[in-house]
Amino acid sequence: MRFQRLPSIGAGVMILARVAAVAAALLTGGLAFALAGFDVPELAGAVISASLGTAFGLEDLGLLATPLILTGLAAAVCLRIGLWNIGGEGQFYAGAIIASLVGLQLQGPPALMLPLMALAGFAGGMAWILLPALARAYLAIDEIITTLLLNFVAVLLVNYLCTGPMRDPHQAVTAASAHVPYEIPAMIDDLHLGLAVAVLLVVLAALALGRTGWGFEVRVAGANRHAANYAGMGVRRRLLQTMLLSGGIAGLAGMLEVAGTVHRLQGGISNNYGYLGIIVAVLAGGAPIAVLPAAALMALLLNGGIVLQSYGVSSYDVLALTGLVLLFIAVGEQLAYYRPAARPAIAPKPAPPLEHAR
Amino acid sequence: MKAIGVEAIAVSKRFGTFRALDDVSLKVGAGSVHALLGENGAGKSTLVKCLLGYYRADGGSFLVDGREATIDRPADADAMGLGMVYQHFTLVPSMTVAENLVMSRADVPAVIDWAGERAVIEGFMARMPLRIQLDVPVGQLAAGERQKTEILKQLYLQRRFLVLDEPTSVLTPQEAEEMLGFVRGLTKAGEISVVIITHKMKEVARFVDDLTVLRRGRVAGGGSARTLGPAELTAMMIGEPQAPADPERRGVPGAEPLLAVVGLRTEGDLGRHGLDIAALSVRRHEIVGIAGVSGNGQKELVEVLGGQRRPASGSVSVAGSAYHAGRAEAQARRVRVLPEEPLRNGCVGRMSVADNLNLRSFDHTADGHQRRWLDRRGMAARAQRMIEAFGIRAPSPQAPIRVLSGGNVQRCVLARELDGEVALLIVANPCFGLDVKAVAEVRARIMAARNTGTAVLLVSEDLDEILELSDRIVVMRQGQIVHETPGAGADAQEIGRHMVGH
Repeated sequence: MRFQRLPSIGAGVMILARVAAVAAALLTGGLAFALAGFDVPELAGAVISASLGTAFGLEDLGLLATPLILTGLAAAVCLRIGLWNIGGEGQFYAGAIIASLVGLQLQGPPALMLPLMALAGFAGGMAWILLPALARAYLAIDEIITTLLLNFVAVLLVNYLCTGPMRDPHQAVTAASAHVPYEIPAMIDDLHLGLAVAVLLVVLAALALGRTGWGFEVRVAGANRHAANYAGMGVRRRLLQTMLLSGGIAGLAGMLEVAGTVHRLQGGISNNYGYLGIIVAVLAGGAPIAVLPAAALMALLLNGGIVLQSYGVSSYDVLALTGLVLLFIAVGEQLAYYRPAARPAIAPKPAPPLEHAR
Repeated sequence: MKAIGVEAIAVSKRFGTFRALDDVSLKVGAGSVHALLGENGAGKSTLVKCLLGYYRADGGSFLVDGREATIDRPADADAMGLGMVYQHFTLVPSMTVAENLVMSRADVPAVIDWAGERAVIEGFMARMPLRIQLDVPVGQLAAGERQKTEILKQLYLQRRFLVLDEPTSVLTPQEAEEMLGFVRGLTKAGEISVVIITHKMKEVARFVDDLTVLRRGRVAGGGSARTLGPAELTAMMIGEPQAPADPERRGVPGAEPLLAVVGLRTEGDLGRHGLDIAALSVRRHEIVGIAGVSGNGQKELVEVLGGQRRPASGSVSVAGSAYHAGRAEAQARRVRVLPEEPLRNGCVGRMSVADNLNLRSFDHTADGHQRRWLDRRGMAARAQRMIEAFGIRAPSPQAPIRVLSGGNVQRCVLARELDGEVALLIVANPCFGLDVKAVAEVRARIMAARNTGTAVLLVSEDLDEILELSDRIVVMRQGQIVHETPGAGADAQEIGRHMVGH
């Protein structure tokens, strides 16, 4: 059997390849669990019923999906101009810091304070990516390295603030800031409006990238910088705008987590959302709308992980499972281009035995 | 004799329902030069790819050196001494010429003795009539120099049978003559046998023993190159008795220059000469051809005029006022550029044919107003109109443009750039790698633009093209304009001497 590579494939095939890759990754993971002696069908049933079977589970899923949608969108937006924003984690923390500061230092009606905090979070994320963006645009310094390294700075900064200047004096044990008094109103029970904000942003980003002249320029610049320059598009400006937008979206995710779920600034508030967002964006193939199902799947995996821990499964196993998903998608993305070669119409002449032996 | 003969017998190859090759036979005698002619899509590339193991033929067989050969993969062809110089370059741009030569071998040792390798390469180079600097990264070489390096690489690898895919399309007449004479000498000495894919009838008449013409995947004719004339060959290739007529020249050049370049200088890249153009002008109803060996500043000039490179000093003006080649300015002044290697420089390979056709017009309306939202329906209609007007053959307007053939990519770029009224058209190597019919069509389009009053600056490494189209010809060498002559009655040998500088 021989295979040949097709020059291009349809969007439907690409989606199918992703779905198949996720299924294959879950099956492989399941096999590993089975070998380790777990009852896989029981585990799967428990995860599904706990996450999707109850209103409580669905709300948890929504709470987990909200930051994942935004960090996923942040990475996806950057992918559209051909860049990797690995710094979603740092921008998330930066957004959380600035939003908390505003919420703790200023006072006003919630209807004013919440939008102000959102703007502050967005600005925090933008500020955190500003240096990598300038370095990329003017000095062609690899954004993968710079955005990644700033994550560690942000984590240490949050830890410093929470154990130092911003530490809540009334809380003796945990290192966290004081309670931020402004809370995002709930949609249903515990599920706050942040999810709606995230979905709205996805729709806006999809429209901006897919339907505006600005988005057209971003996509052209991302796919072929020579052609963008040739067509007279301001590549550098688009690059800066796109990276800042990406950072801002990740920063907003940090603000929503503070004002919607945790209500304090504390170390580990991000829960790796920045890194998981990269997986979400890859899962979505960089398409903004596809971030929604990808983030939902990732939320299901995370929520499943929490459920599995009560069955004695390590939390690292779930991390390994997300890694498997990413690996299978990368492989599936390439395999999708291959088809079995057409059967020969005429059988090739059999070569003399001597040649066969060669 | 080291050279080996190769024979293809009744070879067939299908892609889906498309018959790329249908019962094609070809015999290349040991130590001969065999030309393979035909339009793009006629099956020339498919045939040689089957022979070299990149495709597996569905039917038929190959004889190498008189014995039936199984060629399932490129390594099989390699082991038998069959090699190819591709139209698309296969050198590693970031590595030097010497490194590329050594790395191309199948038996690169784990630790390379560079001093020893250098000595071998220098000894090898001393026997070659082509001169290439060994320590320059290939990425910094001009297209012509890269092509020469490709051929040198095959000789260095001691291939005994070589396929050359349009080897002279980027060389000057003198270089082409030298290179083909060199290849001819090697075949006469029995060192190699050669299959040459070409569109140039002059080369066929001078350097080829036998030839085969393919048309739509079948053998349309062939025989001895001595007995077949250009008219007969063209008829075999396109299946019509006559080639498209030369485009008519209408309208006389205006008095005032439309494009005026004065005292233009740029910084040279990495040891190369920068531009130093005292004066260059193009008038309405005029094609000014810029001849020159590749790498003598043509690329830089096109980049300056296209806004991709900033001049160090000097001025460029269009229709009497200063011009800086920004996007809005280019649109307002109706300046259009056809870049060389259009798929790389002027198109977005991943994006659709329709998007690429709208690369210029997506953000403004027909009457020039700024548009924030894309008009998807308008873009599709516009693309459809261009596809029909320029006869672009694409699977669908939504197909990514990189799946199109070279001729169709160039048709797309032409359709986009010649849309509407054009005051100044800058064209770089518009026919590189296109077949006879597409070349005639592209040249007719450029001439038609001139006839409607467009000022055309044509930069080309194909001197025949410059001679055919230009009202006026200038020669560039080392970034300077060294010679100027009217197009009518221009002497190719004279121009060639100025190109190489003696």
